[in-house]
Amino acid sequence: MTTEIEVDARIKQVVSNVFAVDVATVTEDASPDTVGNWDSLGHMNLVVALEEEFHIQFSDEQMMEMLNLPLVVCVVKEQLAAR
Amino acid sequence: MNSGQPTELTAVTFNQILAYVNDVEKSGGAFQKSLRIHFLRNFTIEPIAPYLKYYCYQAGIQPILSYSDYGNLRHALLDPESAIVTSSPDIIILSQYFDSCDLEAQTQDDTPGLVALALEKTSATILVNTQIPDLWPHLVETGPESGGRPRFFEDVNRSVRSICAAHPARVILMDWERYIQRVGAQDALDSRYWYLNKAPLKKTFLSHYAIDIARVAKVLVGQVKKCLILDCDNTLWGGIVGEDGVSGIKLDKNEYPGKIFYDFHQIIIGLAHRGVMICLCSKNNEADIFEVLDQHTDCLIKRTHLSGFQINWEDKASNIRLLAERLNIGLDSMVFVDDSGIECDWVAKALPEVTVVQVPKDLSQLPALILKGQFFDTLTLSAEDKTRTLGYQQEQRRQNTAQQFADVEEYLASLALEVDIHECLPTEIARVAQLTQKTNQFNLRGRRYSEGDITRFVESDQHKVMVLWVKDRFGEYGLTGAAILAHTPEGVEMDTLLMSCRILSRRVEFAFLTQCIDLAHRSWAVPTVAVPFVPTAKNAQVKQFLDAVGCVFEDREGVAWGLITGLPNTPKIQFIQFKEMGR
Repeated sequence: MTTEIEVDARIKQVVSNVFAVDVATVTEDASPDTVGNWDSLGHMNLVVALEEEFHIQFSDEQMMEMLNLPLVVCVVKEQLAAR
Repeated sequence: MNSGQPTELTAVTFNQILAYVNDVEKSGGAFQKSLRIHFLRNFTIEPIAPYLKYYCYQAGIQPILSYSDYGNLRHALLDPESAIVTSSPDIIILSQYFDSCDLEAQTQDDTPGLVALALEKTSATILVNTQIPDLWPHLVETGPESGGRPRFFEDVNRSVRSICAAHPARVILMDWERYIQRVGAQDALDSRYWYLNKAPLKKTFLSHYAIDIARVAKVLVGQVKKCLILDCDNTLWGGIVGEDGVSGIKLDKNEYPGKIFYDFHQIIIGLAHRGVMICLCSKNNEADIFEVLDQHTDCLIKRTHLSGFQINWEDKASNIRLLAERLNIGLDSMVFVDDSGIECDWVAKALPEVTVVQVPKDLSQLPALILKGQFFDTLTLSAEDKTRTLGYQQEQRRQNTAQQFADVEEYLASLALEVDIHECLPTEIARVAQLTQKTNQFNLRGRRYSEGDITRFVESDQHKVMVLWVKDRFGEYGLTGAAILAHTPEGVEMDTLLMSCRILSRRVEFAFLTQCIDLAHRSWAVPTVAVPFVPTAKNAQVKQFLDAVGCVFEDREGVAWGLITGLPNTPKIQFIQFKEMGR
């Protein structure tokens, strides 16, 4: 079983990978305003990468909800718990 | 094993692809070539970018991607300000997804019109996709009148296939219908993205699409393999001929595992007919191997398919090097197949340029092995490809003849050389484009052109495209040389000069250059022609040739800017006859 902290770290790693930024610069409250490449296309890549990393699938509604990193973390954990 | 081993698609994850692309871009990777790729599309195709970059970067190619607006695709081609016209892309990807729910849109398909416009307005290679058959649950079929939706997709796909067939090498099929068969509906379409972002295609499907695009890119930059070198025992048949005898080896098409090897032969022969040179490299007694080729009823590979062989007890790396020298091709255009891990390892270490493929442990995978690696892609299939094997056999006889003559002049005169040098005819454009893509050694600047580019040169009065046909008493070589002269405000410049290595060392190159320079003098009344030499890893012999004809060089930013005033110096070429060929 993965711990909460591990999940947080893996999400950050994915965000850094998708948007091509150093993982150290991904803050707790990262969002499209603070991460350069986080636009609607980047968001699609983020969803694909998260689904692959955690072997989960989001609903359309969840995809729309993931507006910033805290919300991403929240939705990923929601899906992990639902498995 | 080395990079030649085909990787399964599923082996690489999206996160790995992103990481690889980021690494390459961060390191500012050095690319051998860049290609401008433009998507003319009616949906959100941008998610393909990481996959396309990944497969191109792996091949040392930098793709420069651009995208049209979603709207009117015709307008994008007609507007003189649009990206597609101003950026002069090397590849245009007409990427259309037809919404299976939009019944109104299904009354018209403008693909033929769009392709015709793209052919007219650009010189790019054009990629066109078939449609994914409608994947929605169907109502029970009640007859042809009920089938509006599936019929529309069938009609579109039939039309797309016929457009591609009508413009070989210029319009290339991206067969979405086949991708869907390979990946399945589950991994092809994502309705969430379709409704949220107008992006219907899923990652597995996108990666198939990207791989096919990258394959075309590789051919356009000249990354093609030319020669397949095969081990014999346990590669072309089961067992060891030296021990089991011709009747003991496993190659019977009605048995296991004979049928596997028999099918492997079929695929190899298919490649030979597409112009791939087939060679044998085996530690064996030559007589034993040829006994199989000549006598085994299920051995499809015959002596006539072979461009060369090294059957002896020497080490394989040396043998492969010898084959490369004799065929006059680079080691990097060779693929070597062997069942032995030790031999594979040895060749991979000694000759890292050679692509090494080991016979799979799971023998049933063998027939598809070479096709999976996608080594021998080509966009054009010319008459020269189909007769090439014959050509190499003639070359062997010619080399044997050469040894009988003490004097080179006497030898050359005995060849009864005939050449035809003329301006490129419309029927020769495809072959000229193919030569620019495939010729690496005798190539002045290594510029690669598509058929569209060559057509443009042929039609321009500021350019002259010259071709060379060669024949001697051993056989015909066909169209094996090309040159492009460009008239610029600075003067006349040799844009391209290339010849197949098969025709060199007969002084044909001197005759060809002389005729080209003469044409430049006559066409544009200039005394001097610039012959800029751009060194590559393989074209040193062009420089030697230019030195021999009295070319004077000055250095211009890494380019040896050669100048030929008057006609080039040539050795005796009186033994060459000028005759009409190929027209």
